[in-house]
Formats: sequence, C-alpha cells, structure tokens
Amino acid sequence: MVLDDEPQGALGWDGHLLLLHRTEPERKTFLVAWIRHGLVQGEKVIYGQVEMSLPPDIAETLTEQGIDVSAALDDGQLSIESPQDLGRPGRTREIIEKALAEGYRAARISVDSPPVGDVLDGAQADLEKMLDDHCRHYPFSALCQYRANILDASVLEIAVKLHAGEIRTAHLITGMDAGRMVVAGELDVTNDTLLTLLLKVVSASASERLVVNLSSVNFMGVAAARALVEGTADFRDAGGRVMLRAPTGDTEWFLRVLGIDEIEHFELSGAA
Amino acid sequence: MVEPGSGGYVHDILFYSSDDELLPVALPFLSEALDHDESVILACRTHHNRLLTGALGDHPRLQVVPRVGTAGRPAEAIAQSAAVFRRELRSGARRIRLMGEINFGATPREWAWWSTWEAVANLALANYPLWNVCLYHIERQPEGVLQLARLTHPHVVTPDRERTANPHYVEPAEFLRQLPSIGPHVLEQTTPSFSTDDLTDLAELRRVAYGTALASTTFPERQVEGFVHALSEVASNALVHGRPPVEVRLWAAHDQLLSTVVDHGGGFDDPLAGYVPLEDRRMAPGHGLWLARRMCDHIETAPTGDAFTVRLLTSR
Repeated sequence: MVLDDEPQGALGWDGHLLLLHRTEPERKTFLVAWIRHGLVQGEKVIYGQVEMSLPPDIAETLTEQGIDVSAALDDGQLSIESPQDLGRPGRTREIIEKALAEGYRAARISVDSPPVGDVLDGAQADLEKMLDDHCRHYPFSALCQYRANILDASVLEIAVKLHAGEIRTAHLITGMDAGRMVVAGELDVTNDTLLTLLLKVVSASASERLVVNLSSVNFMGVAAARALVEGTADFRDAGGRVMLRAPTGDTEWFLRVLGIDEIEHFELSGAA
Repeated sequence: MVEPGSGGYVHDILFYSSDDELLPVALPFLSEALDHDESVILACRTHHNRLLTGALGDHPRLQVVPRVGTAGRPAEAIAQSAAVFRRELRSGARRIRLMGEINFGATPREWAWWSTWEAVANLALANYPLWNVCLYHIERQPEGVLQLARLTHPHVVTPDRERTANPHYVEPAEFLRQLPSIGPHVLEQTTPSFSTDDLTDLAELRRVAYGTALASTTFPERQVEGFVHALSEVASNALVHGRPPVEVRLWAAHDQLLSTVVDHGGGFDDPLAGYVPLEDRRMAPGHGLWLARRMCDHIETAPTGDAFTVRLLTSR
C-alpha cells in the first residue's frame, strides 16, 4: 500500500479537466498543481477571478513550491481576468491565439467560483462545449471547477461527458479516451458513485473491449470493486470484455480474493 | 456407514483413540468414494495422510491438501477450502469426501478461533456436495477442544461405523454467540494512539492508521496493510450503513493492533456476518466485512443501546 499525498498520480494536467471538489483545501491543492504545471511548462496561465488578483493563499503555496509569482504576474505569463470578460463570445479564442502569438507554447484557463446555482444550465453547457472544442484544436487546457456536493447524478453525468472523463477529485483521478481508462488514487466509498458513472460513460463508447489501467491505484476497497462490476455491467452483458491492467500487488491480490477475475468478460493482467 | 440423504454439505465427527479404530471407518468411507466417481481430499496430520494414502494407493481423484488451523484465519481458511472444492467439482467430481483434522494450536483462544471454522462450515459450505468427516483423537486433543467439537458437528460417526444425529450440536450463530468476547479489551483502558469522534475522511484514517501501526508495533508491513484495509472496510460500512457520528479509536501496542468503530445506527445482530463466502459476483453489501475478516485476526460486532460497535484485533 502506498499512501501518497501527491494528488497527481500518473495522469497529466493538460486538456479539458473537471475538478470536483468537496472542500476548499481540496480545490486549492489541485488548482495550485494545475497552475504550477502550466508555468513550469512555459505556458500562458489565465485565472478568472472577480477581485482581479491572485488569492494570497494560492500565491503563497506557489511561492513555496518554487514559483516566482510576482515575476510571472509582471511579465504576463500569469494573468488575472474577470470572469465576465472571459465569458464574452470569442474572448477565450482571442486569449489563446494572442498567447501563442507571443511565443507561449500553450495557454490554460481556469475560473474561480463558477456559477453554482445553475450549474450546467444551457449557457454553462455551451461554455463547456466551447472550451472542449478549444482543447481539441489548440494547445490549450481548461480546468473547470465544480463543487461535487451540488451535482446530482444526472448533472454529474453531463459534466463527466463534457470533460471526456478527465476528472480530478481528492482521491480519484481519471483519464479516458475511446476504449481506455486510466484510474489513479484511492478508491473507496467516497468516490465509488463517480467511478461507476465514469465506467458507464467510457464503456458506452467502447467497441469490443475496455482497458482500465489500474497501475496508479494506491488503495481499492470493496465499494470500488463493486463500481468496476456495476459500471461495466451493460457493456459486459452486450459481450464486451473489460481488461483490468497492471494493478499493483495489493490491488491484484484484492481483486483476485474478491473473484473479479472469475466474472465473465473480466480479465486481470499485469501488462499496462 | 449409511449414506446421508443430503446432496449438500454433510459434516460428521469421528472420535477415535487409535489407528485401529480409525482405519475401519476411514478406509471404507474413502474407497467407496473412489469407486463411485467421487473425489477424496485428505487434510489430516501427516501420519494419517500417509497411512490412508498408503492403504488407498495412487488414484487420480485422491489428493492431499494442507490441514486447516494454526496459520491463517478461519474466514480465510473457509474461503480457501471452498476454492479447493470448487476446483474439484469443476474438474468433474460428482461429490467430494473430505477427511480432515484441524490443527487447533495450544491455547483456549486458538481452540475457540478454529472451532469457528467447524461451526461456520455448516453454513458456508452448505451448497457443496461434500461429505466431511472430522477426526478427533479423544486422548490427544485437550478436553476443551473436544467440548467445542461436540457443539459444531451435526452428526457423529462411531468406530463401528454407526452414523447418528449429534444431540449436542448447536446452530452456528448460537455457537459463535457463546464464544468468549474479545472486548472490551484491556487496551481500551489506555489512551488510544489515534481517535476521532466524527470520521469524515477515510483516506486520512488509512494514512494515520498505517503510519501509527508501523511506528508502534512489530508487525510486518503486510500484516499492517491487512489490518488497515480491514479497518477501512469496517469504517466504510459505518459511514454508509450506520448513523453519524462515526467514532474510531486505534490502539497500536508492540504486538497488538486494536480498533473500535462506533456508529449510532441500529447495526445488526448476526455473528455469522462476514464469515460466509459470498458467491454473488455483483459485490453486494457484505463483501466488505467478509474481506475484513480475512485481513485481521478478530472482528466482533456488538449492538449496544443506541450505538453499534465493531471491534478489530490483530495480535501475535
């Protein structure tokens, strides 16, 4: 068992990411990691904030992690924009293209405290689709922040689909593309519902087989094993094969004890 | 010996005092199986395994497996036994005849512990076409072991091959209720190494329990991991099925790891919970406790008034 404070795991900080946070420290931990990654990589980082200044605790943590925040703000690599301005039609595209023209290798945007009362209403969904489109066509990353406890199951499903399964939570980190899913972190009753949903979403778009890479799972409880079974039930019932790849020794032992490798259409193997 | 009518698990006991008493019962019982498309599994002392295999001769449906007891845990041993039986049945056996002798260890605590295998087997193996005769030497086994054995076997086989209902047999749940409790444990009178009155963060609980146990006990890492995983499953159950607040205490002392998980729901009153292997492949609720019983030495549940306590103990 490796119990690691590092939330990043095996997955990157690029692309269209969904940050589902339950607490403010959780949100800040991931946000700082995402900002830091962009700055270290030589990207333009735009942070949407009503007060038009970087929150002091985020600046302090970045400084502790070796980032010269003042210099980044002074030379414009890190800039603060108002959320209203970022919401203007075409504004995000302008920012990206300007950053690239200035020589930055990529751009990234996140907005503090997005609207929560009407999360994923029509306007918000349109914004998410626009960000997703930019992530596909530009060297661009968007970190969309949502409070996990305000999302009901149906809204969560929409959010997951809009972010192509690139999810960051306190203890569950995932990345997905067609027929493949990477899961990292500690999987238990605190995130089994989300894991079930993610598996349903990714398996719905898989053809004959779904590969789930478990190499960066540090802990797996029974609830997570249940999520593996429930989240892929429809896919397996239709004849799809689920290949659980590269679990650590503990996770593999655990899955075998539970007999998951004896369930039809599940395969458990070492190679990633 | 008259064949039992049951197509499921049949659990008999043979009290004997010498090989001369054992062989006239064991050899016909086992050779009949080999003559009738049944498999034979021996899980006895080495002396008896050799004696019986020598008399029966090599046979493709005869195998010797390690005897139950001493090492491992009862819940784990039941699961492993069931896995052996499943393999044998998958390979085509119509029925299995098992002759076994549990290694009960030296202390009353171990006797009680391994007697749970005998009791729980009556339910956990109920669906297996398995005729099991357990051997108990009436002079070599301590009287305490014999007393427990009389309570856990529905039928008795006599040296003259008579097979009768055992009047002393008690149902497994009742048997487990009669076993000595491990709590409140003496460690609970000391200051815990870790405590929380309102558990909210399971990952943090695992992290603290793991670090504390490694730093304060002499258990190998693997055993600590097992205990922490068991604690996590029990705490998960409290969070999901119990009523808050969930209180957790952990004591880590040299050769003992003890934890109590208390919630304020109604809990349950089933001493067999978590013992019977779950065949349900949907991983329905219940798997957590079943897994936890395999990963730490003792788990005891105690409904008390408006609270429900689960006590976990691993000790040398």
